[in-house]
Amino acid sequence: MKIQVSCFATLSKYAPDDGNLDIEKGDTPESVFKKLSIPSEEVKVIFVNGQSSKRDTLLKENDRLGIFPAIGGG
Amino acid sequence: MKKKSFHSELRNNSDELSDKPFQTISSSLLLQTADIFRLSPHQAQIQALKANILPERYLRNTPSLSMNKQILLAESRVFLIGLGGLGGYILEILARTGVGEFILADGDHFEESNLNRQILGTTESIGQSKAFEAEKRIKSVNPFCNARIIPEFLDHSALPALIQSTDLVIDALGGIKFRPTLLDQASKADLPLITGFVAGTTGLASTVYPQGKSPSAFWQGDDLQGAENILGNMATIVSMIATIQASEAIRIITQGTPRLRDKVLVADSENLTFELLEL
Repeated sequence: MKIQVSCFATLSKYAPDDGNLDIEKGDTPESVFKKLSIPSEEVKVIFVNGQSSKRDTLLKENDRLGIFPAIGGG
Repeated sequence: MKKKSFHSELRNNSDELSDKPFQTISSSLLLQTADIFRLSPHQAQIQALKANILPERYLRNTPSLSMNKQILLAESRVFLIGLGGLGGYILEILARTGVGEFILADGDHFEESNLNRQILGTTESIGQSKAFEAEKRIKSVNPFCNARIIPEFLDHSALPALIQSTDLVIDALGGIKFRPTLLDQASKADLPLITGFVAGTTGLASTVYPQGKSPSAFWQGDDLQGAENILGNMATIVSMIATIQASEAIRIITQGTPRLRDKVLVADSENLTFELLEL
């Protein structure tokens, strides 16, 4: 099954080419980080389908995952 | 007695517009009249608005802003902390729109690397205090604004007394370290806080109410850990997020429903994408 992944700011370099990623049943944001070689400690905020979420949320078909590093510029 | 004659003098100096339900007065005549009656420009403006006389400088705010909303803005006091990228644009918008009073805090001085995005910084103002440059700008843009300048980096102990006297806190800080402290102090003072933070071409804005949800998870670590240290900050996103913060401030001051409460708006000025996320 496919999900859509948006990686923001310094994490954008890890984004899958067309934004889509194949996942399996049982995958979570944390396991997606491994698939995309994203250093877990660099991810500070996670959204699934526009809602703030945890690293161990179970992902399902067509979910939209957004991930952010620490951001504080002004 | 004096008030009555101030009002009649205002009426003498104001103009009728056939298609508007109010009279207008020029800035110079309002300032002159205020001076004769020993009123501060700020007070004179409030009295004019309450007498249904709109300073001409706000003519193009109407009818988007009603007279009543213009009064609410003129009577409001905003605490703006940070006068760099975000703060400069926020101040510009709020002063022009008609916010009456500001407390403006920043201990920093302009550097050449600020010039790509900080509207208060110019080639001539390198090395100058950001707070004093803000004061100069506000006097030039809108002499009816009162501004108290604090040219210091505030610490935890200085905040409560300053915050208490205001209606709204705007976090336009650079860096992540001090943001949680400011948020905590705004919450203790029972005030809403509008925050903005950017890195590269990505920016976020959120409104935090006491006991509400906050975007503080974005501010984990110290100042060097923010993505902006690697990506820089583009003027496109800085001015966009500042505009969103200023818009939310105007909504809140004029008793509209905040749009970013318990939410964070994410904008990207390179992809031109906007998304409203639930915290």
